[in-house]
Amino acid sequence: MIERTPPQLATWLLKKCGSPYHGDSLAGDLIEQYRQGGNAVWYWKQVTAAILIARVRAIQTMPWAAVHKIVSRQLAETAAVLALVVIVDQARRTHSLAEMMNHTFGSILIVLMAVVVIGFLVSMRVDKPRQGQAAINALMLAFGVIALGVGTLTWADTTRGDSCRTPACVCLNK
Amino acid sequence: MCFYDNLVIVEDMRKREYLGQLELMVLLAVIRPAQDAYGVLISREIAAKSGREVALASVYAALERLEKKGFVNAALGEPTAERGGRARTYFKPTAAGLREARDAHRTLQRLSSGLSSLEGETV
Repeated sequence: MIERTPPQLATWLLKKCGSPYHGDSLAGDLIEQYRQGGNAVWYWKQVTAAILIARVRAIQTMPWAAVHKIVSRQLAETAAVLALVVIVDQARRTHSLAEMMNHTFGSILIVLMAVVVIGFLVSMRVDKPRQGQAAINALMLAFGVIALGVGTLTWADTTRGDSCRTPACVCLNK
Repeated sequence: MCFYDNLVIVEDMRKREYLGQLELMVLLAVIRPAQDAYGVLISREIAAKSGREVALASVYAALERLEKKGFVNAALGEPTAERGGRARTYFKPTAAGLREARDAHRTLQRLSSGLSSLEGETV
C-alpha cells in the first residue's frame, strides 16, 4: 500500500514557523489525519492555523519584552532622525563650523545621541539572542547619522561659499 | 458591593487560573477516553460532542496552557511510520485537573439550573 504524502512545503513551513510546543507531535497528528482521508486543502488550512496560532502565542507569552523592545527601538530611531534634523537645521542657519558648535546645539545633540545609544542598548538587552544583529543595526545607524551629518555640513559650507558673493553676505562677513 | 469586595474578587481572579471554554472542552476530552488521549483523539472527541471542528493547533495551544497550569501531564510515545516517523504525545489529567473540571462542571450546572430559556431550542 502506497502511503499518501501531505504537501511537503506545508510540512516544511510548519516545522520552521510552527509552535515549539510538541511541534513534532502536531505534525505527526496532521500526517496521520491526512492519511486517514484528509485532503491538501484541509492540510494547508491546518498548517496555516498552526502558524498563525504560534505567532500570536509567541507575542502573548512575552508581551512586555516585545513592547519593551519595540518602544526602545522606535525611540532610538526617532532620536537618530531628530539628531539629523537638528544637524541639518543648524548647518543651514550658520556659516561656519565654529559658529555651528554653540552650547545649545551641543547639548541637544548630546541628549539625542544619548537617547539613541540607550534605546539601542535596551533593545539589545531585551533581545539577547540577536545581539549581533542589533549591534550591526546600531553601527549602521551611527554611520548613517555621521555620514549624513558630515555630508550636510560639507554641502552647507559649499553653498555658503557660493552665496557669499551676494552683497548682503559680503556685508555680514565684514 | 463596596470597593473592598471588588478588590477581593480581583485578587481571587489573579490567584486562580480560570479555564476558558476551549480549555475546558480539551480538559474534558483528555479525561474522557479509556486509552491515553493524544491530539487527533482529543480533536475528534470535541468535534463529535460539540459538532464543531477545531484546528489541531488550537487543541495543542489549549493543552500547552493546561500543562502550564498543572492540569494535564504530557508523555512522549514511540515514533510510528503512519505518522511519518513522528511520535505521539499522550496527555493525562492530573488530580488538580480533575478537581478543576469537577468544579467547573458543578458551577455550570448551578448557573444553568432553572433557566427555562436554555431548555427549548428557541430563545
